[in-house]
Amino acid sequence: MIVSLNEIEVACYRAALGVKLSHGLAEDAARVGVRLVTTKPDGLAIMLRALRSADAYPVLPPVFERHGNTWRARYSFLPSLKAGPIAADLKRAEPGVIVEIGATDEAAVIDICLGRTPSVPGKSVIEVDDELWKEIHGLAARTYVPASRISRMTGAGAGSNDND
Amino acid sequence: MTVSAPRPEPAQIPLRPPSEVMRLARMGSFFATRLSFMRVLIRELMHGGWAIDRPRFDIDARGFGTAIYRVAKPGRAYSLMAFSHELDPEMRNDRVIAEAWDATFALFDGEPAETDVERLRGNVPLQEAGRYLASELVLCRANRSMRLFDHIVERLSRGQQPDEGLIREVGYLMRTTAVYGNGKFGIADRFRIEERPELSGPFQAEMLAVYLVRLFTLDLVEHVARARGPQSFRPLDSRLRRYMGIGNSTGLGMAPFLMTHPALISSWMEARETALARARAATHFDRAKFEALLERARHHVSQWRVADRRQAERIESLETDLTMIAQQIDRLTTADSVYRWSEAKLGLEAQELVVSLLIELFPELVDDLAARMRVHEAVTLDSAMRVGEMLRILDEQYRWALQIDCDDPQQRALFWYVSEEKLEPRLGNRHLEHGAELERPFAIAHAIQAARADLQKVSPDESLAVFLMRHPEHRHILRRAQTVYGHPYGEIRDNLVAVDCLPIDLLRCKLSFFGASKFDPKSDRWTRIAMYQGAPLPENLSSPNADDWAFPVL
Repeated sequence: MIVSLNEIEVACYRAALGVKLSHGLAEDAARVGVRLVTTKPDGLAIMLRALRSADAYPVLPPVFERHGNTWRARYSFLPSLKAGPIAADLKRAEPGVIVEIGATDEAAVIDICLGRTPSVPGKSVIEVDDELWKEIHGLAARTYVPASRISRMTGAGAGSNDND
Repeated sequence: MTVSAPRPEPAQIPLRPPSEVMRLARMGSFFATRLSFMRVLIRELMHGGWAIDRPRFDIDARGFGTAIYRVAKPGRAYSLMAFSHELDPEMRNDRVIAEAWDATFALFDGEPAETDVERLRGNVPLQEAGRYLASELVLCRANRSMRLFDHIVERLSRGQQPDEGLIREVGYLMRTTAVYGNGKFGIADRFRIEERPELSGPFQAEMLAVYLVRLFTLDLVEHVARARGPQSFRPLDSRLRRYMGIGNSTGLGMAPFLMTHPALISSWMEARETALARARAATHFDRAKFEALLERARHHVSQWRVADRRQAERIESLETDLTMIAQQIDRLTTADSVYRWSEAKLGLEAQELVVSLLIELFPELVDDLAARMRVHEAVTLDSAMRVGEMLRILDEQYRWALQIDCDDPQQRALFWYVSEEKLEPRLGNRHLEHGAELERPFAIAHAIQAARADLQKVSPDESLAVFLMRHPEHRHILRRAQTVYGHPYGEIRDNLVAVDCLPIDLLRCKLSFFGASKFDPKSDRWTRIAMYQGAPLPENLSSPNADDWAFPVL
């Protein structure tokens, strides 16, 4: 199906929250998702794998520890959506510092976070696989609160019929 | 990082500070100004060389079918596709969770081919359940105000004009219940149109769609009336026709935008405040013009009647205040003295109405500010910033947030969330309802205090990069604080999760920027409004005073 960039950004943000990334890291994940989908033919599949990985490996902070001029991963495996933004922060904060991420899931995510992806014009029409799209939305749905009568009546404040 | 204070103006009158402006009570008292987005669109239609016509009107005698409205000039066209349906009264619901409507619409980029019309006929009536392409710019729907629609059909079909009292009371033939832009359900992303001069301002595509919906409702009611009484039919009097706006029902869905776009909101507020400062600094004051505007506003307010007790009391106080200023006006010699007197003597509603009147008085001084109400919302994290600098920013920018007692359960009673039911934004009470663990990050004061407490535990020389590696939970709020630091009006300086938070104030603020009038709250969480009431119709756009439609009266 054809989707807009806004839809991709919102879906990736919510899916990232759904796999328990913090709001801040979910914002980064949303931007990564847009970049992946607009620049790579299998961008959504990469994003979904990265999200699943973040879901499967709930690493506790801090994910790196310092050894001299090098930040080294504290885990044998780091999900890219957690490691990428933090590695980028560390490199921006201290030019010349080395960050060793070690084993991760999606190198494309790390490349985007570290600004190693060449700047190419993004696709103007984004077509995504329906099944992958459904899976992303499945992760996003973890952030929705189930409806109840009280939430329907008081949560938004309106009545049920508006004939006048 | 350097702080961006409100931009200095040549005008010598300082802008009202964010600590005064960005309070819910004041924001919830705003009125439309000539910088409001509907006003900006009307000026574009007046001066931009646009022609408006109706290339298609395949509507049956009962008012059901398809119509197309076109706004065009050489090299550019926009078309509103309108689908009018029969609706079971039991299904008529203004909530986002509704699934059928009296009429559904799409604003098409260009002129649709028949294949586009067919494709959209299969999708637009489904609204959120349909799929769309980048050729569609806006999606919306509307329900009839049955009592006014039926009344006007009845009267016009008999050759009579409708009851003015009823028109005054309702003010529109249909209410829109959602207007979607920016990529929703596959329609065009904002970036695709933001470089076009006519759509570069905020929400201009949405405002254009709603303006055309208004034209459709007027044509529809006359068409049905004509079909009912072809021999006796008389068209709607042009004065009544122009008064008729388009309604809107708005709930909490509109509120989060104010929290999630701090840089953009700051640009809107700063433009409005700059307009006020320029007006106050003006060396000339046309008192007669001000008095005429004030009288019109008083008349308008006298016709603003609502059932909501809180708003009804506010309107009553407003009327008293406006009488006071009318009695005082002979002694006020400058725009600034009018503002200062109203600030000292009047309530917030009246103060903000005076703001709108003063801005209205000086089109030559303020209209260029509409171009400043947009911003490239680049949200980046300066991870090289030191903890000490971050703390300084928090202490400077968020003094208001640090004064809130976050240990008080009443200060954290509410939580904002997305319901699984059509993804409707809702507000719950965390002490009574489930789902608080899924709340959206709008407890700004709490997040600021939590981040500050952790920042104080580490060396001021540590980089934010290292701090956030240890505390990813603060990543969102510290990035936000860095963003807001450059946008002085970016943060609402009240606690949005306090038990006494009134979301209706957020709605009114945003709707005033749209240009809405006749706020008619139905609870503290949703409101009806009128849009384009009194705005020029296509046949009025070439009139020299077409832009003079603030505070319409009948």
